[in-house]
Amino acid sequence: MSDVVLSIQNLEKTYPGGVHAVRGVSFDVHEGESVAIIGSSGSGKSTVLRCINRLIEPTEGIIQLRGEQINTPSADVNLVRSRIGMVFQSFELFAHLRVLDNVTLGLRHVRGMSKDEAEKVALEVLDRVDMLERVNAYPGNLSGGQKQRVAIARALAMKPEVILFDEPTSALDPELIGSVLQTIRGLAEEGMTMVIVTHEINFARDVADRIVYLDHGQVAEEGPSSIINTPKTERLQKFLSSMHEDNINEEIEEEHVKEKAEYGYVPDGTGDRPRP
Amino acid sequence: MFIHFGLSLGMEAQNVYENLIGPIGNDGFDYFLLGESAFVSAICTLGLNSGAYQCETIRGAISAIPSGQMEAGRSIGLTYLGTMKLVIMPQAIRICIPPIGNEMVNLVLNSSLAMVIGYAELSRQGRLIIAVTFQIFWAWGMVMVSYFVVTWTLALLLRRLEEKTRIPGLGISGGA
Repeated sequence: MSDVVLSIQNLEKTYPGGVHAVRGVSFDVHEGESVAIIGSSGSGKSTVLRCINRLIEPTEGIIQLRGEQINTPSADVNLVRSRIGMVFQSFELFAHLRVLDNVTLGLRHVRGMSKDEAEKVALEVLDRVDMLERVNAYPGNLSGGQKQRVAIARALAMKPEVILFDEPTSALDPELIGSVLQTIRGLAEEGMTMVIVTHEINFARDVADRIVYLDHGQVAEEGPSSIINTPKTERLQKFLSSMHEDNINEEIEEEHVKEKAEYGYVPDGTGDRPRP
Repeated sequence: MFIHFGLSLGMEAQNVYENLIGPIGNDGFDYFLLGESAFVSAICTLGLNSGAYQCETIRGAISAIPSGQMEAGRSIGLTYLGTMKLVIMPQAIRICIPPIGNEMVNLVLNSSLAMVIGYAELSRQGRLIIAVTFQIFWAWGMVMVSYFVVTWTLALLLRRLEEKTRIPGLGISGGA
């Protein structure tokens, strides 16, 4: 097996309020591999991701980037973060900067590149995410999908060793999801090391090399992407079936039957009772 | 001084004046010094009082920036101060231009309270002129026009600044 880029061992996180969000999560991410973390809301997916680049300090556990532990006080947190790209659910582009400046900001002020150098790199990555024609637009004038692609370009420009995606498509309109997933898929094919927290089960199955299923802060099942088709544990089975759209329709149907039994009619949300 | 936040400016002006001048005493010898110090006291008082309000305005503007912007800045490897300087402040300043403008106009109008400590500012001068000439209407009229010219110019300049720094599509500054 190829080199381990990121190694997480016995990660624990208890929030100040006493919520035990992550309970002993361990997994490795290898060079060029994309790992998808799936799980229902509140299962600790985002917390794990944020612990990796220390936006959240883990309570216990070891996180190693290429063999060196990064969650110690002696590790230079800014250097570590510049080696790990992050793409947020809500894009978080710098609203006062044009697309090009959004991408060059880190290059110029963290990597210390000159303006011209940085712009050259930025244009390259913007070309990769197919955003070359909007380099002078402000984020406020872009669609959600375009914003997310710029955010990916911003992360890519720093030439990170691993990119973390925190639900990259959850804040997007359905018709815009495709372009972003296409971009991420392209990166996976190019051999980018990635950790993706996602709700897009089909996408996870197609793109990820490995799936980590989190439930209540623990790794409930881990394996190649085929585990989505043949889940071994009951918990994953249950989770997958709840994600399935037909089942949601069935649930609604069931609810209607229940309501009909209770009220004698199906409420339509207007508050009007049908007259007999 | 900061405790005086909610007190009337006039009271405060008097306090500062007494604190600075009190020990010296108000005999004839100090008369020149008194004239000078009244000006300094007035500036200090108005400055500190307005400064407190402006601090609050800027603090509010900073906390209006979504926390994700700080996370995004930190996640590309910028330091806390770097993110503040390059990401948070450029946006926060745009938010606080209108309230800071208000505060400036307010400051100009509040300057009339310096009269309490005997500093002859604009409206005090107006009164003195009335005392000499009895031209009440024209004297107050000119005072009014002077205040108007100063505040209106300020307001216009700030509006220009606001339009100039507006970023298309940046929801927070209300511009599209």
